[in-house]
Amino acid sequence: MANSVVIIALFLVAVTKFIDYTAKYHSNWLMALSLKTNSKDTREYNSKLRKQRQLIEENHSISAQDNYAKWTKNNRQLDKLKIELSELDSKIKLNSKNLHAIFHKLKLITLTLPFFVFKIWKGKEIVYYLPTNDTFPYLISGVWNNGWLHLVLTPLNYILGRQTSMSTKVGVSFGIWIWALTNVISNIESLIKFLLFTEKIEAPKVTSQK
Amino acid sequence: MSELSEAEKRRILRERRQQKFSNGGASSRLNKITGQADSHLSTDSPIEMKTARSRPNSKDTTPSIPSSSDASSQMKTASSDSTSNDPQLEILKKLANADESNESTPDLFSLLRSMKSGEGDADKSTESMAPADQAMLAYHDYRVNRLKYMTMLFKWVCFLFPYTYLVTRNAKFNVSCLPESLSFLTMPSNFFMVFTSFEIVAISVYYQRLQSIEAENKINTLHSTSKIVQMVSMVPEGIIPIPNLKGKVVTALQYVDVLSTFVADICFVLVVLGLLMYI
Repeated sequence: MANSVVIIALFLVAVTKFIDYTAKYHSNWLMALSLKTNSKDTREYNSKLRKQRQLIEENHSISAQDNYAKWTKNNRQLDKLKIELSELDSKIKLNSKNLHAIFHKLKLITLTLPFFVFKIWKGKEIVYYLPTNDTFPYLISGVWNNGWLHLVLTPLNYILGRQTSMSTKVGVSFGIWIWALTNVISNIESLIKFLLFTEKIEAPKVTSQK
Repeated sequence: MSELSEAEKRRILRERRQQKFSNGGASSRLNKITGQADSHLSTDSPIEMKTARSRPNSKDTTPSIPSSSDASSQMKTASSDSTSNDPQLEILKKLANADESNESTPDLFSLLRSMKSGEGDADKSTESMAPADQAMLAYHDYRVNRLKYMTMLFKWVCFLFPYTYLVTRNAKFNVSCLPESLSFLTMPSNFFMVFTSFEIVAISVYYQRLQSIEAENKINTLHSTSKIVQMVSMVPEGIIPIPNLKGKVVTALQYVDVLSTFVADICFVLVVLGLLMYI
């Protein structure tokens, strides 16, 4: 039973980390998807953009003084196109934003929430047993076995005069183990990031001025 | 003759103008020109102030009375004259000034920062840091991070993992690789004692090394890099009734740093123990 719990937890942690590492790609994929789903607006935007470029080129090629009427007509069209383009741009951006929001909600419902519920549900399940009951002091062993609540309940029981019974074999519960695992993973991530992806900084040269 | 009479005319006009100014006509004239009769700005004309100074015995010299009886404008005039040492009053005045200037509500921290810079430039602000200082700070950050991660790597790879392996091997197979005199070190019941002793030594060595880096670069790590310490240093003295708040915050952060190092190592031990108990 503990094996299946550990395997499921490792799988969920791996998927979460994969999604975190590929966050930049998601943004690009979602933008491309939003352009495809909103193809009518995208086509209209591209055609208007092309027309805008043509008008700008035409205006640059003619003289404002000699062809005043045409120049001002082009300018009026350019002003109109600018407004239309900004409207289409905001529409496309809104669509992309909605898609991002849907993706985040999906991630919350399919990954974050189930993982959270799984941790709460299987939190007390023992993942492995310690070599001996006295490997850690009583209070710390109690936390590993019963969770963080043991830190609060032990002094409370002592004040109320209740006896707290420890199980015959002390182990590490799933909740504590997953906390320790995520802590170690984040430390390893920072370590790898520093060792492999951080440039070495040399000491700045101090020029003494007399 | 006409020249004389013209000069006389000019002299008479000049005298009348000066009389008008001395009777307080400058302020109203200024208001009429700018059309700001209800302005909250100070309407004291410099000419009036000059004449007031030149006639100290005159009963007409009145103190600068604001055009409106608005409390905020009174506060503004009071702030321009007084050098109040009460920091709470200073903040209220600054808020009132900010409201009148029709700017967006200022952020409390920007207010505190401006007050702190107004009081004195004793504290270095990161905004006005010279490029040389920034380069030194970046180098110092790099060295501190390198120390932190190399220490962590050394502790994990060279001590915690091998020691945990020996303890689990001893517990599982009752076999100790160490000589008998040192076999008590790998007994599971002594694990936490050995682990804590090692942590105390490792953290002491780490902090000694950190202090030598700080002395070499002449930079205090927490003072320069911690946002909490920077925020606390912006709070002027007297607002929070705790003496030496910054020192206390720095001490608390140091204890938190030590605790987080200990917790990180304990988490590593838990993960490795789990792995070794399965194998």
